[in-house]
Amino acid sequence: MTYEERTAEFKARIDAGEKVEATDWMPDSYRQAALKFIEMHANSEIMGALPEREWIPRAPTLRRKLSLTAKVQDEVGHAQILYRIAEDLGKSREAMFDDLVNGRTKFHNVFHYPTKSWGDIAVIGWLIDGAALVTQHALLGCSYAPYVRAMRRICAEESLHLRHGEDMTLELCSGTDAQREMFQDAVNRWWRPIMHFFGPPSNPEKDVLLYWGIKTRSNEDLRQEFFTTYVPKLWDLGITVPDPALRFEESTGEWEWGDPGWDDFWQVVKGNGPMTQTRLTWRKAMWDSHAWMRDVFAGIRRVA
Amino acid sequence: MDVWEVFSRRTADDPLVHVGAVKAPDLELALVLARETFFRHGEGVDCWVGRRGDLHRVAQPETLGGVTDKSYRRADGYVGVGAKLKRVRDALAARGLTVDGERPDGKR
Repeated sequence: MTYEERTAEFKARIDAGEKVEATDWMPDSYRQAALKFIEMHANSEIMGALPEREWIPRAPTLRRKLSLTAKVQDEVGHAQILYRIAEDLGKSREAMFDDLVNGRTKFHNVFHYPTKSWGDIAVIGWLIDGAALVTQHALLGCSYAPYVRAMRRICAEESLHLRHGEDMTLELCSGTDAQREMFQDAVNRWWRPIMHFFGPPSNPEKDVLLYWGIKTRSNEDLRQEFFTTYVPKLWDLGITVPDPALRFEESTGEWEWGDPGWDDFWQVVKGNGPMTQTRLTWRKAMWDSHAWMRDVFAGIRRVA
Repeated sequence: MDVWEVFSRRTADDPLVHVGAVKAPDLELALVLARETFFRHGEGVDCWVGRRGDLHRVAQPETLGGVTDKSYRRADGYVGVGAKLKRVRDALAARGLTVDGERPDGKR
């Protein structure tokens, strides 16, 4: 069988809803797409721990401090699970970290911004984790089975984070005027990055991730689900959405929304976000200062 | 003769689950016995075996998840958030703070 024939057979398997295992034959194009996607997810988990970590020392109560610490631990744990899966697709963890800390690979745009108040932690815990859950639930139908198994576990933990985020949100929204303003201010600053999170509307026909069944739903489809779930909840809490164009159009059954400043999005993608360099520098410093530990592990392997 | 632990994957995207063990002198026979013992009725789509001696149990499994109160790591630490949402929503509506806007049918 030629490479093209094998690839066509593989594509037919994917289209029939079959799952791919790490040990299965796969076309290079599939392997590269899956690796790039899962690596980016792993990078986002480990970088995503940083904005929230900054607020652990400043959490308002011991209970919140414990919850936030547990959440940050969960994010790092997700990264460990995902890097392992990505490694099986053919790139070493060392190479992935090296590419991340030197800015050669990406992490999700929402983690390039500063966390200015406790309201930001509520927004991250509720709306950003909510946005993440919308996209992650869609990945449960992914064609790559090891990733699906990981996503089941990750979604379960993210649901817990969402609960915590919702609880923080309710605390602020039912609190004093200052607390409500703090939350509204955080929503105002984070709304555009959340819109960026789903990506620009793209042509599903040209999406290699959709082609291989690695993703199963388009950016816009996921964004619409996010609106339907969260916008009415925000309104119920007396929080306005800082997009004057946002409205539900009954005739189409779709939400209309305004330009969230795609130039800013592309700047972040290029590594020019407000906190990109700070957070990468910190991550690199940790990577370098823990080199001795990797040496110890390698030594144990050699002796054994 | 070694004991081989047998693991099954029920459907393609399920995790491996331990289903039992077989006794066999080598890997080849362990796989045959595992297949015949545990999969005759189509119980799974994948089967793995591992020598019992190569598998290791964690010490003090009763300490998994911690021994102090770590409910903040679990769903049971957040029961009542749904009811709280309703309470807060109603209170804010009573204060006239709800934002008006067209909403998708059937969703609140």
